[in-house]
Amino acid sequence: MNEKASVMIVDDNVTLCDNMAIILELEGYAVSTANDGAEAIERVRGNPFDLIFMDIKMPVMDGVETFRRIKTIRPEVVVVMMTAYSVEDLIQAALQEGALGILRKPVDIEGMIAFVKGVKQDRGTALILVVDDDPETHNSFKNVLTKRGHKVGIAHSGKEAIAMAQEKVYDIIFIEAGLPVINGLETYLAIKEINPQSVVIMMTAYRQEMADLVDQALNMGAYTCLYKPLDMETVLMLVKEIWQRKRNTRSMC
Amino acid sequence: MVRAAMEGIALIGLDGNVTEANEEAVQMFGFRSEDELLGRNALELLAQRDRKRAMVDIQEAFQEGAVRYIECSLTRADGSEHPAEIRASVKRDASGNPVGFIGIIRGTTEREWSAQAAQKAREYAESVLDTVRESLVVLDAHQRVISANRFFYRTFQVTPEETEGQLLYALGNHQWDIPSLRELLEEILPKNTSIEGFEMEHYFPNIGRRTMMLNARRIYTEMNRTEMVLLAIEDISDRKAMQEELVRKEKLATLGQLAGGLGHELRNPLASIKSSAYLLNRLLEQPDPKVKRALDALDREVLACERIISSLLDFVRQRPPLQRRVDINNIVRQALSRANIPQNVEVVSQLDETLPAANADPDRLGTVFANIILNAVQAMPEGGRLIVKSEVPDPDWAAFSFADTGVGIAAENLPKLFEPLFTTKARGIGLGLPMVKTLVEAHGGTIEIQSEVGKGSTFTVKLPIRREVA
Repeated sequence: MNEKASVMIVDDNVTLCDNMAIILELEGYAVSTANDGAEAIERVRGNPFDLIFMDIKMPVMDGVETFRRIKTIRPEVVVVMMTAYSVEDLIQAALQEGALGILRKPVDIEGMIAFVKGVKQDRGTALILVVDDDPETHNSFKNVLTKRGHKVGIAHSGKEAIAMAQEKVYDIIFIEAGLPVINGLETYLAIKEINPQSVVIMMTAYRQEMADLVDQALNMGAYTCLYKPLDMETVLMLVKEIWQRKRNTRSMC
Repeated sequence: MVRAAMEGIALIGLDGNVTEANEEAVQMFGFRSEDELLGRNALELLAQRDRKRAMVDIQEAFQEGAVRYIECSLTRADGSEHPAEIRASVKRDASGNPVGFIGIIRGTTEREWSAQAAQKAREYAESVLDTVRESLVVLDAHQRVISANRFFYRTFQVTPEETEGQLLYALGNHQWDIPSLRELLEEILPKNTSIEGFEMEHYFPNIGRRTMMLNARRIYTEMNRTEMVLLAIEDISDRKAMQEELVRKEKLATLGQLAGGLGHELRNPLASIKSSAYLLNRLLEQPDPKVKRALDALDREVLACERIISSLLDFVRQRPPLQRRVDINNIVRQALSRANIPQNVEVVSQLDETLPAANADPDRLGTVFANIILNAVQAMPEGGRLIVKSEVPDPDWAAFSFADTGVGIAAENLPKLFEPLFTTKARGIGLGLPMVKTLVEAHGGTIEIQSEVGKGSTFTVKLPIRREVA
């Protein structure tokens, strides 16, 4: 990237907002600030920012709502949320809306600068399959992952998943443990036969009831198990972790 | 003649009705006068179930002319039954013709009766006492054991032979010679008729450290004219542990709300301080050394604040473990290599390499081991040895022990170690071990501590390792 990105900081903490702006300006970026949601929306009208850092909890209009409204003006906007609070609902909502990440306060400034540097770089796309009979889960994965450039396939049953795995080699597969007819473990074992390279992550809402099945899946080589309601931040962390590892092994070959 | 007899005597006519009876007989049947008894059918004076047999006996007495002994129960006037033995013989006139018979009734006397009743009552009481799931001991006035119930013998693993007649304090190698018990029995109880809910914690050689709830009551026995003490001993250790667990959980919840609110609230101003310090560092190209020192201090201390808040929030926000297939020995090794272990602490690693892979959250187990190692190191300010061991005591479990040669933990502090905010350290907020316990339990495991002041402590973490299902 030759062209330096333009950045906006949105935070009702004026000191933090100004400090971050000055620091990024020193790094050579063009920076604007806004101290509430309405002001941020106004700024967006006049300037297509490459990246917006936005406090998630602000008076009057919170970060997620501000993000939604900004998207109606600039659908391609890239937003990183900042939070001092464990406002889980807002965090999950922001990820569903497509926020690129969540920065915890006090913000690690080196990390923030790295974020800005990397924002325009090509991120590469992972091919992901979600196997679940619950449409809510499909939507969550689609919302969160496609907005980050990943390709998401959906299977409603074990049978469908196995058929899809025969068509394409998926990088990462999320499988609900308690699938009807062919359960999650059987689905996993069948897919493992077809494509041993796929990294499989089990999911379940029933930690106790599914404990044995999950244990067996882990014993057979499943990567980990996520418990519902899903924490999409963890999903993103895992996808990033697996994807980076895969890319590294590929580039080594 | 009849009236002077010591036994109950009744004359019965050939029609089977009573024709004459002495005072004893009248009393035995529970009537107020002889008149009430006369004319009654003799068989009807017997318990229903005995009548048929009595009839046969009497007929045989008639035929053989011999004396028959009939054991039966009398039906008394009030309907109650009274065991008796009747000697029946035929009464004949001068020419030898039978005119009826004589029944000599030897009723079990009032005294025998009450002794029997007492025996029955005692058997009843004893069977009740033996069923009670609480230890009961009866002591004489000098704290000697008169008797104890079955539960007592079972709980304390002693026999009646080695218990009865012994001084309570001398029982089982003086395991009951407890100052607080002496005080209860010798000082408090004599001033009261009963004591309830007296709690006593004691180490018993056979069963370990237990908390006992004692109820004691003085009983005066009319018969022996002596005082006895009934001592009820209830083992409330488990209940107490549960209560303590509940208190711990409540404390955690309260702490969680407080910590959550406070920690988050502090992060905003911290963010301002941190970014200001960063900015100053950037803006001041060649700062005065004093300024530089102050800026470094700002950075460092903000980081310290962050760490405290993070540990607080991690503790509050308990997420399910993110399990992976891992070699737990590796997690131990990693924790050891990351730990800041001073030169004067020697680490001895005895890891069982046959330990199978297990499903666990490597990050959280890492936190667990790091905390235990940190504690061990801090317990050895003068240096020492840390022995780290892993074992597979049985196929389903792996045990990881960390034994230090440090200062040890005072016995009274042991139960409090896992309570949040309990700390004996000058610096520390008392969240390390409670978090360790919570994380270990989230893995379905347990943690135990053995410690001796001046010698050191051993922390043992046991984790379930499930085998592959064939």
